[in-house]
Amino acid sequence: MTENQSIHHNPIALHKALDRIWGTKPGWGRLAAVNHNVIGVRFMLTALVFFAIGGVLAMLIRTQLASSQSVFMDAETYGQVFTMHGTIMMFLFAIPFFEGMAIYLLPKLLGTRDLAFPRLGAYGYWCYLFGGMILIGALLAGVAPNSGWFMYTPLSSSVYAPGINSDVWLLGITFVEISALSAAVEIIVTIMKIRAPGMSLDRMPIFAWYMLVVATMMLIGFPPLILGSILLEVERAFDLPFFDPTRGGDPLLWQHLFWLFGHPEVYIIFLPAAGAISTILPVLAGTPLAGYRMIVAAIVSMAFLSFGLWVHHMYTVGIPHVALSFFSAASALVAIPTAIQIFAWLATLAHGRPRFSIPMLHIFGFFFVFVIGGLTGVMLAMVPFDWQAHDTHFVVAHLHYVLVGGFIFPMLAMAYYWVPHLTGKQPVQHLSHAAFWMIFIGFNVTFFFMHLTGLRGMPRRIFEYPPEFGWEVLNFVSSMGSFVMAMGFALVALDFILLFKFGRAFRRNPWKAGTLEWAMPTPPPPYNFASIPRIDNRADLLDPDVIGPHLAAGRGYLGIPRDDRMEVLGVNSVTGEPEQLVLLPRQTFLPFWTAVATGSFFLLMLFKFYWATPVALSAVILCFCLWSRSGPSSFDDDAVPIGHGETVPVHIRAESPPSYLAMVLTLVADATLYISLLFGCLFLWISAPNWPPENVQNPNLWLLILAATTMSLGSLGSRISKKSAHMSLVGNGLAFAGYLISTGLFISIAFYSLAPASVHAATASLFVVFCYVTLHGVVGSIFAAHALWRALRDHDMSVRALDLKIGGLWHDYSAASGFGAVGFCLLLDSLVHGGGL
Amino acid sequence: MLWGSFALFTLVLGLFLAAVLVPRFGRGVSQTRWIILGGLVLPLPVLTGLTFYAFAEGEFLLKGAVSEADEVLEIRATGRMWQWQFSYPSVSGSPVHTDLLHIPAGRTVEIIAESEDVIHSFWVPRLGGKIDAVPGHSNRLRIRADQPGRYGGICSEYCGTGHAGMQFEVQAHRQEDFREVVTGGFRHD
Amino acid sequence: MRHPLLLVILAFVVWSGTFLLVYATQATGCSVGWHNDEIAFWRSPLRFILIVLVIIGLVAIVGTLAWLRRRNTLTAALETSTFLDDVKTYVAIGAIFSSAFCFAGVFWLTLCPL
Repeated sequence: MTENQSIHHNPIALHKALDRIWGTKPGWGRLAAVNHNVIGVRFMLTALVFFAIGGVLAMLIRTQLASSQSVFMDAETYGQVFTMHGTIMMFLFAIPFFEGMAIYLLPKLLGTRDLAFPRLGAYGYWCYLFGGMILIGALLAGVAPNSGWFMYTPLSSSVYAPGINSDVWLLGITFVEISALSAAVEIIVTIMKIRAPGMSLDRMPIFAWYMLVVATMMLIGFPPLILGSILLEVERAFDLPFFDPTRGGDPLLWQHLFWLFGHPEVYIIFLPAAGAISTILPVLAGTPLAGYRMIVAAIVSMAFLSFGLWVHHMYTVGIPHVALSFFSAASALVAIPTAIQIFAWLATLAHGRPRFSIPMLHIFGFFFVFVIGGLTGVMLAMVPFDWQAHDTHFVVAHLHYVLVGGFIFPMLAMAYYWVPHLTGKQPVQHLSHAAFWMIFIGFNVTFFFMHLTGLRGMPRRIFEYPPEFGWEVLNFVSSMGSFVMAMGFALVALDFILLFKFGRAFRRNPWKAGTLEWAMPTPPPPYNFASIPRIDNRADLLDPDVIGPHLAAGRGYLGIPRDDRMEVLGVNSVTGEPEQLVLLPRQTFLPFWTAVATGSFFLLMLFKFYWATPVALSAVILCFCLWSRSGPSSFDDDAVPIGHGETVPVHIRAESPPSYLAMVLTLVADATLYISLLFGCLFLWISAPNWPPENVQNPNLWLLILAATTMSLGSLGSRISKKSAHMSLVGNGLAFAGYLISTGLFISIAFYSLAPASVHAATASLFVVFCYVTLHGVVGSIFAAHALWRALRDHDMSVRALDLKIGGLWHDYSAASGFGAVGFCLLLDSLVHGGGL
Repeated sequence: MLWGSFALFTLVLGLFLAAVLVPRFGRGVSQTRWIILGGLVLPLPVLTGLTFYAFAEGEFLLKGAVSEADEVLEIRATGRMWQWQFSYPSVSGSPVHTDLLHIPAGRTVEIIAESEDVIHSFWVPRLGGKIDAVPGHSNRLRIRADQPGRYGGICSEYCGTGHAGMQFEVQAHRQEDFREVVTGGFRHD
Repeated sequence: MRHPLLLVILAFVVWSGTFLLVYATQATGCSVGWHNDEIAFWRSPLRFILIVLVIIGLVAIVGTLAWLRRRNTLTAALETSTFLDDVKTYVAIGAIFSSAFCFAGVFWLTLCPL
């Protein structure tokens, strides 16, 4: 303790001690980085590189369309260019950028040192980078996806797109989506559990509320897209006819799955930006945010409504009017929560003393552009108007108004607001004004006139048009505007380069903000806070100038580093009272190698080396098993002192550790995928032609029930195993045996008891459902085997209790999915053979 | 809709600029009242009116301005890469026309859109409405040309490299000429 | 159902359930032809079923709000509790309005493809 005593209240010594524990190692050690500062900045910088690539593609599009019958690109190249422009901007820029921003900012705003699962963040980053590289590689090789960024099948099917192009999209994007899902889990758990003590739900910074809602939306929104991609890839690779109308599939299934993700996606992109505005704008207005409770209620409502309007992308596919009316009304309604936020911001401005700074200028740009986008959005929500404007340049103009207004301008505002935090330097501001006006004017010239082009009948995605159609002047104006906008973005880049080089330093809190991220040195040290604060007010009404030095001197919680451990506090998700000491894993290469293994799986799939994919999958599983090994191993005390005379248990012994919540969330996403799959198959029965299938061979019902029952042994076993160390062996042994039998049964039913899956979508559905259950059995058996191994090796029950609890969740879900498969099989059978209802 | 949007846009932007630039603007109105007025009172009536008007308009367009189904002339439009084929099930002896659709003026026509390969979309901008031709489905759209004349048509769902060139022409004829034109007995010009 | 955040979203969860149920019933009804037969004074049994479902959904959401209002127990400090009570009331009112607004079309709009 003598060394620790010397650290006490000495900021420099404390900083050195913490920096040694939390810092990223130089050289190759960078690949082992898990710190959220490093990962967050990597996410954002990588996203900006993709933004630049996507921007160049946009310039190519505008060059092509500037004149009629341009010979700059041929139809094939143009197809690849517009597909990749949309894909990159949506999947490789917008989502990862705000993920990076959230990863960087959230722990700081919440008053803690890191996210709940630093390794997961690192793994997500590598998945994103590798997946993005696959897509860019395909673009350079001239085999990029070419069916449009929403990949409508059958155009993207193996019949009409026999090349590798569509596979690149399906596999590359799914690979990238792993990072989105892992980020979603990590963000939710962090906001719920890893906050500063005293930060009850009503004291959370508003940005945390926004991100909590966004991450939950991602958790529900991404699985349908991942499912759609898997089904389409399975159709392309193994000829399972989910989307082929001649064999009981339906192209509309893809559209439903895609837009069930695709529309919430727009709000997933907009809400983080709105959260940033809700954070920045009150600071610039010098007054607290108006209507905090109403905003929270508005964004929660918006999250739900945004899932009820996906069909407004599908008004022209032949869906009956009454069904369209549900979606049309929901699309109109979603304007209300938006209006509430906009007027809360206006109320804040009206009641404050606004400073017209550079971020404020970009917020003005946001208001101007986004309001227009919202209004055209309401127009498009109206079914008759959309019947005319759908798939024209009017829609292209609308979506750019919404996304650039709702994301790019807020992003620039936050860049100018937070780059001083990131770099410790303030901008010199010579180019900032000019850059803003060039982007603003260039954008409006480009896209305002595009509304008119669309109303004059120009469909989207045509690479040439006859001069006599009268679209040439408008297109030329749009192209000119787009070049001005591009130069504006180049100026912004230059502005930031100048800032990095010549910016002047500042002491603390340049904007006089009331949020915790300014209560730390800038640029931030890897551990953020030398000690963790206690919050006694809403977290945007604090005084960083007082809190900062107090924390730097180690006077908060966890002010004394011990045993080289990375420590943060876990709190009660409602009251914010500390209830556990969370020990985070140290720097490790494991996320990198796991992502390499995952990437090799996707590459093997891409190049059709299917026989080798089990090897890659085993490598992935092996890597993940190694993750659990490096967990903390010595816990001698139930009550660890955390400062201020308080003690809490270590998270392994706590009531509700972060990893338990993470497993619950993972299963929520997993269940969403499963439910989408079952509903999707039933949708085929309703909608697809060539139903009911002829001579479907049903699996033996008793065999199926036996398989599901043996699978539920996992659940039973996990209950037994919790009783004592001895019973743990018995219970996990039972679970393991049950899984071995049931996976064997399910796989043999899938392969031998069904008609070939390629015959009809009905058998393909059953085949995929059984494969899904089998996969859960395999993972469950790994959980059981791991628990067995731990039970043999380690006799301290309390250490294993957490593993068993988490495994128990999985076992229960697997059992439910097994019985779900039986029920689905019976239902489909009665629908097909009973001739319906 | 255009003027309404313009008015709302001006209002919101005006409020923003006034709140930022004019000192003490809007401070007399409490924050809650700002939000209630702007976030609920302003948009709700507008949205409700617009949505229900659009429902009624949608019903009208769906029925194609007719009340009885037998007044409607059915025409089959089959999309394939990259041309449209039109056939007339109710006109006996009519050949299949490629990229040229004849319709009678002053009568509601029901297009039955189908596809042989990928998704296409039937759209004649000046006659309004749009319907996707989805393989495996028969979708219906009612259109009506009040005057004889020529109208340009275009595929509006991306359908591969030939998408831009997948245009067709609609010729609306006087009702008395229509049958002869379709069966090929009448040269229009 | 113990976590207060689940109570905050409860009303909209009921809305989502109603939405799925009504949409699925409508699609199923068109597929198997429930819209063609006439019963009593209803033009089609499908419309009748949909209207009943919508009304049940609406009653369920209003019931949710009433239940939530009665359940305003102190889960945490007073400030936190009133915050959560406020938010869940706002959200529930939003869900009630959304239900009435989204499903109004079942009363007269065209049910199935022509």
